[in-house]
Amino acid sequence: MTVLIFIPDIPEFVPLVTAARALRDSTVRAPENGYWIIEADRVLRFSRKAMKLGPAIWNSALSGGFVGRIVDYGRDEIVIESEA
Amino acid sequence: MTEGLRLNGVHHTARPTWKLRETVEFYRDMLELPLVHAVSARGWGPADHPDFLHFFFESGAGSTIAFFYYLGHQQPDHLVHRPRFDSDAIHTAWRVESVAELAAWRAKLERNGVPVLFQVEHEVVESFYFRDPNGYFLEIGRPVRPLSELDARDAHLTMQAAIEEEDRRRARGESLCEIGSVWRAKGTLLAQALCINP
Repeated sequence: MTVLIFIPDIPEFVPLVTAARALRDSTVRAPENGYWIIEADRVLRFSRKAMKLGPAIWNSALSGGFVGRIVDYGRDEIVIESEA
Repeated sequence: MTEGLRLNGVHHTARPTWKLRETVEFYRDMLELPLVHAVSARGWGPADHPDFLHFFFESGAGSTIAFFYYLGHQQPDHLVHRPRFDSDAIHTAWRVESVAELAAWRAKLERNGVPVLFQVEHEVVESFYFRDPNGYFLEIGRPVRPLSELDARDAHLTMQAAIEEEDRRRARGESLCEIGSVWRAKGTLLAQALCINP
């Protein structure tokens, strides 16, 4: 099982895509049907500080949808693991 | 759906006021919305309907914002505006076109003693918030970017995921109480639409 995050291809979510590109062990797929797809085998981890996101976008960072399980979604870090 | 039917903008929205002078001075003088119409009438319809004033301020792009003032009618407790997220969900947001206009409005209100509660850029609009004499939540905002076809498509998918997830939970006697479950349902819908098998 993999972890997937869908990110709408709209300007306010660009920092998320940029951050995902800098992650190791993950793949960023060009938009399909309007959504960037971030994919990882076991876990995806985002840091708010690294992305310099304000509260509005940080708190809707996964609003494009995801496949997996939220393990941590605090003020500073989002961690999503695969379900299996 | 009947073809050709189309609602053509907002004619007016209306709320009750218990502060007659303050409401007129705030909307007409502070917000510079012209007073364009006023109904003054004896109570009619329901037997307990008081005499009333119903007055309208032009609020831009063909719309008006209106108030009812009920003569001799005490404000019922359930209509006292309580400043909280759920009550404040009922609000009016005016549009300006630029950062400079937004700043000018904020400066004007603050110069005239109207506290600005906060200013934020949230997704597609940058806004600041304040209150009218009744405590009603008001907003002035400028579009950060135009809405796109993808915004609309994404909105439909989000609402589909939310409605279907709520239906599933209700069937189990549960409620929809955290947004992660909606995002997860949306992710499943998207994976299916894109033929991705995680």
